Amino acid sequence: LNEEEDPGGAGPPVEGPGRLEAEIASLRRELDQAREREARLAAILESASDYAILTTDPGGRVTSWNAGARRLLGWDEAEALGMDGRLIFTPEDRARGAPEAEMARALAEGRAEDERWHARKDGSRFWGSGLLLPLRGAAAGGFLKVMRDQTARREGDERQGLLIRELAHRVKNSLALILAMARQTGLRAADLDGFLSAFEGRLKALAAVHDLLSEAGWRSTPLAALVRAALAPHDDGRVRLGRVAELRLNPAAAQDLVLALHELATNAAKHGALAAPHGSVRLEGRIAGGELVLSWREAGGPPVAPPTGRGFGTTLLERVVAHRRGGRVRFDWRPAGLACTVRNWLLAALPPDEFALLAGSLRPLDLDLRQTLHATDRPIELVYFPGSGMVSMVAALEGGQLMEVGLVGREGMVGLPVVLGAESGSVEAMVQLGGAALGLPTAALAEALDHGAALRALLLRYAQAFHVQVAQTAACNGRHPVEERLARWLLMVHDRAGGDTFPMTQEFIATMLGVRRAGVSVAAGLLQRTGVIAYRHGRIAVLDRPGLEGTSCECYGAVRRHFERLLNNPAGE
Amino acid sequence: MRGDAMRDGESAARPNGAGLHGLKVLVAEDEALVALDLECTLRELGCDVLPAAPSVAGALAILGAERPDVALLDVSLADGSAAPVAAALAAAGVPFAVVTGHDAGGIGEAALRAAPRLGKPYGLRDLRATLARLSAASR
Repeated sequence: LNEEEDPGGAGPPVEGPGRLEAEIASLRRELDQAREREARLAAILESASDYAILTTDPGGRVTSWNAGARRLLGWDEAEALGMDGRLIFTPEDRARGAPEAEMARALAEGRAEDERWHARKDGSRFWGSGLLLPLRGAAAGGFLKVMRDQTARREGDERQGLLIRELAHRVKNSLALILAMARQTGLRAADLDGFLSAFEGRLKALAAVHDLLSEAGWRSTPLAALVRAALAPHDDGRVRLGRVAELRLNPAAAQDLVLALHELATNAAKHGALAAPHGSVRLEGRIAGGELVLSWREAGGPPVAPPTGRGFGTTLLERVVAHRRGGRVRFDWRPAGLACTVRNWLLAALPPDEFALLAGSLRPLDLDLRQTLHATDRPIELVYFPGSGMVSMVAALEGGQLMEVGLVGREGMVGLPVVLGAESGSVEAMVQLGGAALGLPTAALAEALDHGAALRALLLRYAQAFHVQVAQTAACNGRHPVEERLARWLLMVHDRAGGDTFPMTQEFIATMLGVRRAGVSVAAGLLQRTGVIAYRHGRIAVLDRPGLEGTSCECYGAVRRHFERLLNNPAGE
Repeated sequence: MRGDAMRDGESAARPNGAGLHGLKVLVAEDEALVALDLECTLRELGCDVLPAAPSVAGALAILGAERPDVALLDVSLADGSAAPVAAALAAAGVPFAVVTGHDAGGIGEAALRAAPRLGKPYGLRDLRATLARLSAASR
């Protein structure tokens, strides 16, 4: 166009009007093309309504603003043109200098990714995802920003991230729980097999509760479903579910409850009602006084003592009771309907109000093989009520020889001198078959004896029965042949062993009976040949109990009758 | 019982962070079995363990009556986030650690996020190291 105004200027030589017209026509075409291009570009920009496309000058002021930008950011074009482009950043990002950093990076690297929360005109936010590019050509120095709204994707990512994080958290919590379970099971297991079977049962109970929790989305879970899941592996038709309140428990409470019920059911199957052919269990859950009260009642099983016992199960149960009291879940420990791992017959024979005198002071203890519970002439600080296992009362002679003078198992107590008013005894109490007992501090027993007439009477009758046992044993050891004494002794052990086989060495039997080992060998060989017992690898198996009773002298039966008469205690001896 | 005797014997002369004997520890944990095991382990280490609290309310009640030397908090307790317990501990100047399966990013509250973390599942050595660190800070 300059050439039209300045035809004879410094431009190229003009060769005639035809040439000029052609040139003008060409320029017009180019102009039309340019306009068309611009219109097309504008149309593209406007049509790309999913994309906010805007340009700014080098200082960040908006120089163009498409429909997508209007839609996404809220400002219309007239408002946006000349506006500070930083306004589309969140105030926090502006304060941090994020817009300037983005421009600097775009200049230095040719592009800058823009992935962040952005602000709309009305202050609401969206997740913008796009690029900032330095403009080239005529608008050089300015910037082009292209971005789209990826809020939905971002929220999806965040949700997934949260889920993954939550999953990791739950897995770690479960691992912590399993580790705690392993440690606590291990502390109490007698051997590896015992550990594995107890641990496996607990792990399965945990898996059952996890199934329910994941069904419920790790929110609260219905009580009835938890109870059913906990009892299912133990239910052979003898576990009856009464009314269970409609209530939902949070995941931690659900887990504790299922583990606790698993322990109750396991105990019932091992030592309680479910161990007896006609025993049964009834469980109910009702709401009383704003609390959930679960009651577990066993019927038709061996006599049960109130909630005392050793081991993981009882400890966990006690713990759940204490732990959940604030959480409005507690167990209803009725003396008539409890599972318990220690069943000492003296304690079980006490009326409930007198048992209550002792209950707070009883503590569950292990009886370890060869453990000395009471030493000769040393003050007795704890008395023991065995629930399983066996304790020998052993007299030491001056030459260092030991001899057993009496036996105590779940029918009795260790610590009679205290009942009879003495502080110490003349014989040693030594564990001969490992088991479990409830320990009672001497002071607590003395206090309870002052207030409990039935307790006093019962323990005095036991003292008399035990005296008969000691006297009869002494007489027997003095007069009867070794095989009769051995048979008597094996019957006494069998009564307390809780099974037909028990670990026993001939040396030990010799010591207990005050016989030379060779004598025991001969006598045991005789019993073995007649098929009454089997003796192998340090274990004795009683094969023929009537045969053993027939071999024994009258001493076994005499002592047993005394126990029955004095204590109404059938297997006493 | 042997553990008890040992603890009682040594708590009178509480060492200044050299060992953990007699260190009075508050545990806030809502899973009974995990709490039981933690208490058991702490006792083995010779610590004087306050009865574990399953809830914020329980922990605050204990703090109303006792002043532990250090505390171990699970991030979420039976009745909500342990943040109020953390605030009460901070106000009383009792150093504490959070015991959690979360990584730092998974912990919402700043007061809990900033505390030393004992990651679940933890071994004896991790527990001992955390206690030693807290015990040193409690002096």
